[in-house]
Amino acid sequence: MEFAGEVFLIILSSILVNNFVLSRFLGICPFLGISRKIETAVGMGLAVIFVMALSSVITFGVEYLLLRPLNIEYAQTIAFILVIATLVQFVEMVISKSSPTLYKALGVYLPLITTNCAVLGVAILNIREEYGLIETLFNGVGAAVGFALAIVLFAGIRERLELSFDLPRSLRGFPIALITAGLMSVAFLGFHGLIK
Amino acid sequence: MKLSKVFSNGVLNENPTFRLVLGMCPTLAVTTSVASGIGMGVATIFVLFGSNLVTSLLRNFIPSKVRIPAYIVIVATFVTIVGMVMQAFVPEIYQTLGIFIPLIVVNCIVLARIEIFASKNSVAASVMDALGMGAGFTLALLLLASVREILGSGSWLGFNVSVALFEPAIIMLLPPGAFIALGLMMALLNKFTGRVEE
Amino acid sequence: MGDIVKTGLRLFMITAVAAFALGLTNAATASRIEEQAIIARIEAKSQVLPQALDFQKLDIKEYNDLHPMVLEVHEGIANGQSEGYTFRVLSRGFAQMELYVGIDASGRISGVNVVYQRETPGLGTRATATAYTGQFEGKQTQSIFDLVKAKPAVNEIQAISGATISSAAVVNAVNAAIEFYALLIKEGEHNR
Repeated sequence: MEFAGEVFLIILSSILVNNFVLSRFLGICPFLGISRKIETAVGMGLAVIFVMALSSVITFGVEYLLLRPLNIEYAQTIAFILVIATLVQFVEMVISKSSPTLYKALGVYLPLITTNCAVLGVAILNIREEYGLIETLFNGVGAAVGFALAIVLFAGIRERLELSFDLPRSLRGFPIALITAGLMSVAFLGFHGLIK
Repeated sequence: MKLSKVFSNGVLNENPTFRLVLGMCPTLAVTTSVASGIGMGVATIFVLFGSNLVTSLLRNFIPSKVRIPAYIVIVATFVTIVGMVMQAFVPEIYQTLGIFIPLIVVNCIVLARIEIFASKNSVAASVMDALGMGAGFTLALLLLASVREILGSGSWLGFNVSVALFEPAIIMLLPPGAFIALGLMMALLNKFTGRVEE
Repeated sequence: MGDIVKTGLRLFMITAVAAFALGLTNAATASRIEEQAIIARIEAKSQVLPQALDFQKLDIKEYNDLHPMVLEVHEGIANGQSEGYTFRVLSRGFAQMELYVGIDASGRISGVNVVYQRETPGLGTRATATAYTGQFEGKQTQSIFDLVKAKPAVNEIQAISGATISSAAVVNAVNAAIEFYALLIKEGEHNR
C-alpha cells in the first residue's frame, strides 16, 4: 500500500509539482513551436505520452541489462538517443500504416519527438534517481502527461491571445509565447507545496 | 560566402537563440549564473565544432537514407567526450550543469546546423558556421545569465554587484523569471532591429 | 541488395569509429574522474571533522534497516586516536539532499555540510548554506534537535523563514546521524 502511495506521489510530482516544461525546462522547443492550435497540441501530447512511456521502459532495460553488466555506462547518452530515435521511427511507421489521417495531422511533428529533450531527459533522470522499473514507467508517463497538459493549456491560451489581442508588433510570436509560459510557470510554482 | 561572413552570420543575423529560436531548454535552464552559462556555451561550441567538422568531412560518405542515425551517432559521441572531459577536469561545473550536458545531443542547434549546413558545405565553412553559431549561442547565454544573476542574486560571476542598492528578486532565478526575461529580451531586440513577426 | 549492404556497412563503420573514440576517451579520463570523486569524498568528510587526518569506513550493513537514511559512517583518526565520526546521510526537502555530519570525540556536532541538493534557489538553498548549517556546530548530541521559528534553545534549531521544508530536511538528517551515533556509543564496539 505504501508503494502505491509512493507511485502516486511520483506521478503527481512529475505532472504538477515538477512539471517537465514549466519547472524543469525540458521539452521547450516543441512547446513553443507547436502549440498554436489545440488539436495539434493534443495529438502531439498523446504521441509523446506513448513514446515516453515506451522509451522509459526500454532505456531502463538498456541501462541495467546492457550498459552496467558490460561496464560501459559512459555510452549511456549515445545508446539512449539511438533507442529513442529508433522508437520514434517505428511509431511513425505504425501510425502511417494504421491511420493515415492521424499521420497527416501530426506530419512533421513526429520526427521532432526525437529531439524533444523531455524524452531523453526523463530517461536519464529515471536512472539518476535510481527508480525501479515500475517507478520508471510511472515517472515517464507522468512527465509526458505533464508535458501534454502544458502544451494543451498553452495552445488554448495562445489561440485566445491571437484572436483577441492587438499586440505591439515587437511582442508578437515568440516573445509573447515566452512571457505567457512565464506566467503559467508562476501558476505552477504554487503546486510546490503539494508534496511534503 | 566569405568565411568571416559565415561566422558573423551565426552571431548576429541568424543568432540561434534570438533569431532561430533553437536550443531553448539549456538557455532557460542553465542561466541562473553567468558561470554555468559560460560553461554550457563552451561545451556546446566544442560539440558544434566537432560535429560540423566530422559531418562535413564525411558528407559524401554518409548515405542519405541513414543520415539521421549517422548524425546522431556523431553528435552523441562528441557530447559524451565533452562530458567525460568536463567530469575529469572541471567537476564543479559538470555537477552544476547536470543533466543538460548529455542533453546537448538533442540541442536543436547542433542537429539543425549539421543537416542544413555541414552536410552541404566545405569543411572550412562548416567549421566557421559552428564557431559562429556557438559564439552566438554563448553570447545569448551570457546576456540572459547576466540579467538573471544580477537581478536574482545581486552578483555577477560570483562577485557582489548589488551593493545594497536593491534587494535581489529571487523570481529571476526561478523558471518564471527565465521565461519572462528571455521573452522581454527578444521583444526588445525585435523592436531595435525592426524585425517583427506578422 | 548491394545498396543496403553498402549503406549498412558505412553506418556500421561510422558507429565503430565512434565507439572506438569513446572507449579511448574513457580510458584517458576514467582514472582522473575516479580520483576527483575520491578527493571530493575525503574533502567532504574533512570539512565536518577537521581534526581527523584519516578516515576508516565502518561496516554498517546490520543497521541499514533501522537507519536507512545513513548511507556511510567513517571513523576519523588522528595520531592513532579516534577523533569522532562522520556520517553521510540522505534526506529529502523538495528534492533529494545529501549531507555529511561530523560528531567529534566529545559528542558534539563538529560540522554539517550539504554536498548535494536541488532546493529552490534563493530560498531553500539558504537552508543548505553555512549561515544556517553553522547553527549545529558545537551542540551536544544527547537528544535530537527540534525545528523552531525563533529564539532557539540549546536543543533547538531556528528554521530559515520561507524555507521550512528545506530547513527540516537538514535537521532530519542531523537527527538521523545523532541517533546512529547513540547506537555506536551504546554498542561500544564496531566492525572494522
